[in-house]
Amino acid sequence: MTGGHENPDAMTRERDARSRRSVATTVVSTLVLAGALWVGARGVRPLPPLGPLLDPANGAWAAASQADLPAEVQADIPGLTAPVDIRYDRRGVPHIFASTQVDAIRALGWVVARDRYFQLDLQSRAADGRLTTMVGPVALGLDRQMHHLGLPRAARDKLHAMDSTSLGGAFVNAYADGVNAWFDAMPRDAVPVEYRLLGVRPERWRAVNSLLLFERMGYVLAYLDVEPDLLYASALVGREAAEALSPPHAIIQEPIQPDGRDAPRLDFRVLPPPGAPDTSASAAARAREAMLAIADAGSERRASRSRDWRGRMIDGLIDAASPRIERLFASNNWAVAPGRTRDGHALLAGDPHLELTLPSIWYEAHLVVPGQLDVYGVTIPGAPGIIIGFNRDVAWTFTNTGADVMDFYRETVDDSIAPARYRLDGEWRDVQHELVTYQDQRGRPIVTDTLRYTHRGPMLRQRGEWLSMRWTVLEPSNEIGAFANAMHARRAQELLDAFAADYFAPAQNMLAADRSGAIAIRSTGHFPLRPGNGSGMEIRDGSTSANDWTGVWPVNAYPQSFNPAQGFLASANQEPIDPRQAPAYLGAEAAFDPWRALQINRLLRADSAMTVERMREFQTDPGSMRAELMLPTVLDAARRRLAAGGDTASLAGALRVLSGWDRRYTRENTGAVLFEELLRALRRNTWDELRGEGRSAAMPSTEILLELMQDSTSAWWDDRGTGNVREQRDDILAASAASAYDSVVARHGPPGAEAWRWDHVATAGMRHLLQLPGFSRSDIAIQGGPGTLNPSTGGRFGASWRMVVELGGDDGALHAWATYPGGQSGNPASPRYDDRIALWQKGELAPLMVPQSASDLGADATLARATLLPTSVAASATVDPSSAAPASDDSARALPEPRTP
Amino acid sequence: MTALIELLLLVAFALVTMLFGWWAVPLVGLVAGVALRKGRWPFVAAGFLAAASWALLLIVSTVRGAPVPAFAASLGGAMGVPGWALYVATLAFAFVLAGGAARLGWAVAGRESSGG
Repeated sequence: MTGGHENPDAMTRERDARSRRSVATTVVSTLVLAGALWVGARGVRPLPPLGPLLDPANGAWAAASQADLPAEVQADIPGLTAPVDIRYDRRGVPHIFASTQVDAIRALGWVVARDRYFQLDLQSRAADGRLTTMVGPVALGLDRQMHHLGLPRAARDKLHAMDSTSLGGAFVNAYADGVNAWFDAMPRDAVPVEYRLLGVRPERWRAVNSLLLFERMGYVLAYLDVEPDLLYASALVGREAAEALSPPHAIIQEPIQPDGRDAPRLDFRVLPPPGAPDTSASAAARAREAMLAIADAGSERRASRSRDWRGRMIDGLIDAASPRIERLFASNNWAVAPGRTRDGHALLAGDPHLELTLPSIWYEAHLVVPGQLDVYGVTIPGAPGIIIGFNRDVAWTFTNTGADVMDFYRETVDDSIAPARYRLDGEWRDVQHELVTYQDQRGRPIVTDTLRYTHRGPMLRQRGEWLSMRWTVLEPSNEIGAFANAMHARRAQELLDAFAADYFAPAQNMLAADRSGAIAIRSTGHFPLRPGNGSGMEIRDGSTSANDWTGVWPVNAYPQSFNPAQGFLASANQEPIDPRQAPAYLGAEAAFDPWRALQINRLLRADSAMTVERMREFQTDPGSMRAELMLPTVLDAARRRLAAGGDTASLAGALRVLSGWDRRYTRENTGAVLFEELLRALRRNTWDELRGEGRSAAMPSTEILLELMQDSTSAWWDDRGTGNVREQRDDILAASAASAYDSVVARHGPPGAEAWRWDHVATAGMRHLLQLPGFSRSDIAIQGGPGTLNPSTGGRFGASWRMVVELGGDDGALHAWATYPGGQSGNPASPRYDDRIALWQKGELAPLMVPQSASDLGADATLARATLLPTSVAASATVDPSSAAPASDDSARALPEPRTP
Repeated sequence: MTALIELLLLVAFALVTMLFGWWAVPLVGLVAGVALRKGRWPFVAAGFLAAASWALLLIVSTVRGAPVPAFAASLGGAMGVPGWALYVATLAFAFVLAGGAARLGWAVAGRESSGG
């Protein structure tokens, strides 16, 4: 009992203690709240700001609630002249029905932004050298590279030069209107989840971003410089041998422009032996490589490597933003004339191979403006038009040409540290300067850079020497106008001519087929005319204009063919024209790949009643001319070695597996894994002369290896590590086969085991743009492998869009099938994010719906609908030349309908 | 009466989150600290109410067809944590925001009461 007998002092002490506890609790609670608010608003590494991330209504979770398209939605678009009806079909493809072409492009910008805003923003900042605004100083190396290559400046110059009344100019602005209409009305719960994870805000779209996209495509497809490899090889084995390993023309000829033969030609030579090292070559190679800032960007990327998930995410973003061209970066296309098809209609197959990402590089769309435009296909987010596709009369597609369109000049300057002038033809000329400030996520300056340009292009100092670069990607051009005009073509020739008029870089093998049955191909782009021997494989003296390009190839000299007698056309990144027909230098052998071209042409020659189904099957055909041409020599060598008593169990095992292999990369075969391991071992064992103490030279191509295999006693077969013993071809082939066998058995168990199956060893994958595992898809078993028409395994590249189009006769029939590895939505929570991968994996295609009017798309075929309405906002009508400014000024424009060609 | 207040607070937490975003949760938390000051653990109650309201938002979203569990798994995979950890983090974050603010509100209301 205490009752009223409590001690007042004790009660006071108790009250004081309670008060102190209360104050302490309040202080602690305040600190906890402050901490939560801080972490919520600013984040603490490795966490991004938690508020926008975890908010269940507006944060990352909202991605789930935005997974499906609402059945019906309305939106206002500034500048729109009339309502636009958008019907999404069951595959998530928007069919845009508009009254004017410019309105259709506005709507295209809106639908792409709705599905792919993060992708739009990321690729624009990457090409603009502003990734630091997304991830901070860790991206400085890559941003510098973009600026030193001159890409942002070139995009701005092209926008300035654009005629606002042209179709292309109007499209660029209309597209920006559409993207920004989405951006301005974007609800918080529709902000892509990637922004929540990075802790940054999306940026408004600028008209220049569309130009930056094409500059970036130039970077991806024409950033090809083979000379460092040649120089490194020279440093190790002398110039003559190095040049033989990197010849100016492909040694296997199956050109894009048919050369009148009905079989490929193998121009095998006898390779000169490795010679004495050329010591001056190595320094030159390092200088030129540094010009491209590869080492610079690479070292900074490595320095950023982090163990936490956010650091890995940022590293992944930077890796994804710095693609490298490589031979896996392949593409196929072919067309068959009516005379060789079963139904008497022209057929066209498109199969561009690019980096496989989620979301995909492509976005499928259909634009209809009655009486003016009816075009279906894929666009790249940021491009105001259809890039690959078809209209009612013509279908078209591309592969990369691989031309050498980048040259370097050694400049004479007035100041070796900060040159203000450079010497040309005995006179000093001013160096142009541009100051660039790199900013972090909050707009704070990180560092300032001075860019310098000669009349040729950007300059960079290396080892006290100043080089300048000329590159067609940076030259005046109007690719957007070319696409805008080409979408209206009625005939294949008309389409290719529209591209030839305005499309200059990156050079593409453009293939077209039309309703009349015509098929045509042309390698289109600016190919430099160089003085002297015409080669682009040397650094030229910049002090004389006599070394400058003298022009570009005339269009009639481009590799091309219209309605060839053979009845089909095909390109697959092989050398476009037979040097016996046109010996001019277009690009080095290392840039071309013959294997897929050999296979396509073989398949097309063998089938004179082609069907859509066969065209589709070809896209994942498992046959390999590479294996067929190389394997017999290996097997013969193994048999001879075994017969000569040089028996080993490993060699016998290898022979048993490889002689039973059908040389096809089917999913279930168990021979391909050994053959690929053998090739790796063979390259390693053969080209030991190209391994230096510092940097090694690049391995010669597989074609050069095949060429060498014809010469059983070449000095290249000798293994430098075996002293006085001189090996010959059979020694190396047999040793490679045996070691490959041992290696595969060690990894996968005895032959025939399930683990030897090709689809267990080589799989495809699509990485999210931030390379986040949860948003990526990996270990996708597919048919195909290196050298086949579907070389999608084992890397980050592959068939990015597969399409077959049949253009019917006069009845107007049009049939098309297609798919790509991904989905229309960029939202990882959406079923439309990856819903096409299963079809792609099986090599199948979906039939495309090509309605002529909105009413043609029935309710059961409609997934969702959007109606875009005009808003009454004041208008202006010019291309905004201040490209660096946000396109807010552009977004309120009622453009007149532009000139249609 | 307390149950009604708690119900109103639950709705308020959900509404302000939807309308204004996560940062509005502490504001309601302050109010909750005052409104629930006669209770035994007002800040704990406020924290639970905020967490419950956020859970409710996720449940409603799921019921309406949003693939919340699948997305939790892939988002967790992206961040290197299991999907359930994201639920825990989400609810814990709401709890701390509201509970911390409620404690402040309770203290302020308490001082006013004693001073009045």
